[in-house]
Amino acid sequence: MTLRLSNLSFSYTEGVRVIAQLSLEVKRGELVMLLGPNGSGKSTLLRLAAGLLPAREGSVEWDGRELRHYSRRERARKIAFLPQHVESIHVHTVRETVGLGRYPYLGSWGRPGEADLEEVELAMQRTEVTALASRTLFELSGGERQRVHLAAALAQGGELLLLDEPTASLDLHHQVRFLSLLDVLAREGRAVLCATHDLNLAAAFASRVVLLQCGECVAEGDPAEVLKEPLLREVYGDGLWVGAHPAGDRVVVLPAIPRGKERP
Amino acid sequence: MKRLFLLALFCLVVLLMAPFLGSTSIDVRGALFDLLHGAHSPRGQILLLRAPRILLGLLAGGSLAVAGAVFQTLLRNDLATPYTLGVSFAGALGAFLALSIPGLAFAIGPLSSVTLFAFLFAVIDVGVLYLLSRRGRSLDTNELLLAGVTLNFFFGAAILLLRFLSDPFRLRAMDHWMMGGLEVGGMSALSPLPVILFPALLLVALQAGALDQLAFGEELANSRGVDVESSQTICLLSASALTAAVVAVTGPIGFVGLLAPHAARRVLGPAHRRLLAGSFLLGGGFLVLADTITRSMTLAGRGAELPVGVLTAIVGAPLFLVLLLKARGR
Repeated sequence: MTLRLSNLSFSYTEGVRVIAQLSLEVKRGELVMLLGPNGSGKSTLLRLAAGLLPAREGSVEWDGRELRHYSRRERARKIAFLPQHVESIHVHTVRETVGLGRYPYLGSWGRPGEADLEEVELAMQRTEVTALASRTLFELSGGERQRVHLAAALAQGGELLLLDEPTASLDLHHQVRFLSLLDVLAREGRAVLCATHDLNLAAAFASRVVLLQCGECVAEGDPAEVLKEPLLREVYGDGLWVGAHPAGDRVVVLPAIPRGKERP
Repeated sequence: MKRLFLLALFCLVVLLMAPFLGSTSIDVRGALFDLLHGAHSPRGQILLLRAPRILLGLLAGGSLAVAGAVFQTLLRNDLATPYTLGVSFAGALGAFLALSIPGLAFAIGPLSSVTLFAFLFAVIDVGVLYLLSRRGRSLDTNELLLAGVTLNFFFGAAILLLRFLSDPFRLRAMDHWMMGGLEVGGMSALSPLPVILFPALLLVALQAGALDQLAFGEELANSRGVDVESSQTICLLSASALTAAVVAVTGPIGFVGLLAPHAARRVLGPAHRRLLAGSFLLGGGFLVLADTITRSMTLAGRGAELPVGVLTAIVGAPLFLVLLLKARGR
């Protein structure tokens, strides 16, 4: 099963392309990370892949079938999307929040059955939030909250997970923990496409990275192949340094600004 | 389920007690005996007179509470009430026109021109809002809220103008309507109400799952398979229909639509499947209870009862503050 974006273009306002002639594939078992500066089209690309924005030029396919041919519920059972900011106006417990992931399987009255409750428990176990089940989202740390939202995405049963900067507000420990979990989920057979600004986390966890600039894919492949200094300078500008990680198995990208001296 | 059952029990107890309490207390056993044996005794007649008013209290309080719960989620605003989008002021303008222009005093069947004009203006308000906030198939809820608040101001100003131009002798009737009350002339006057309320309540109930998702934002709801555009439209039109129908019959009764959903959410949690049912029971029970109290009160020097809308606001506001403080302490 593969997510296939072919010659995809998209504009919010006529004449200003946010995504331009982009083609991309994400297969089951892969954790692909979308990289690129602010405004490069990462979030728009994820929304197109999730079927939340219509693909007017080009096509988006999951499992060989264009997304526009899926019904809403059918699409939701296959593809789970986690936006950058998830917040409810009401107070929900962890279990209630994860349970909401079962919406595509419920009838109009929204009453969950035994199978739905089991899936919710399973998703909470997978993301290690079972112990928090009765607590409200307001009582959780940022890292715990993101794991709860990931649990809801798992309860949704998605074969394809699309995540928009899920580790943006997390500390290093929780970033590593969250991405390790995504890595395991991908290895278990899901396709995962995750946007991030953190090049080092991408170098450490991604099976493949896709580098975007102004809505175009400027490079795609193994992190060590894509994360090279000349290309990164071209995309992100000067002021960065690319070197080898002490472990020797990946690159690291650091700011190349001398301490205490005049900064650009 | 147990908590929902307790709310149903509260509502049932209020409904069973209410007919026997009021300015004249009735002997329960005697009145029931008279009614069952077809005897035309005063106590039996009083019971029959009170029944439509109690039924109206249940339907009006319950519907306002459900509309409040829907608007809070739909507009993603905890302070939203059934009247936030201007339905009550629009209804009031319609009612005031019927009250101030002598040629507009008529009735069609059980419906007075005041009720008809109030409903018509409330529907116009919602229609204008719907057209203003539509973007293709979808609704812009921010624009809906802004346009609603603006229309509220407009109708408020129009009401003041109408009052200024009106015959001073008619102002008292206008004031009384504006305070909200459950005085109703028999069951026949109530008969058109369920025609609007029941379908609207059913439509809202069928959106319970979608409302749960909309609480987390339109994007996530869409990704989980909610048809966001049609859910928002159904919820807006149904909750507005509930409000317009109730306001047309009772006038604006304050605070039930704000207090009951918040209280129900604290007792039952945020899932709309239970919340909507709980809000109806709590709102209906609360309004019948408030009305029973106003019917039992004798105001010194006044021949009339205190309008129930005044009591719900006076009691409701402190209760809401208590809820707020408790939520902060959690």
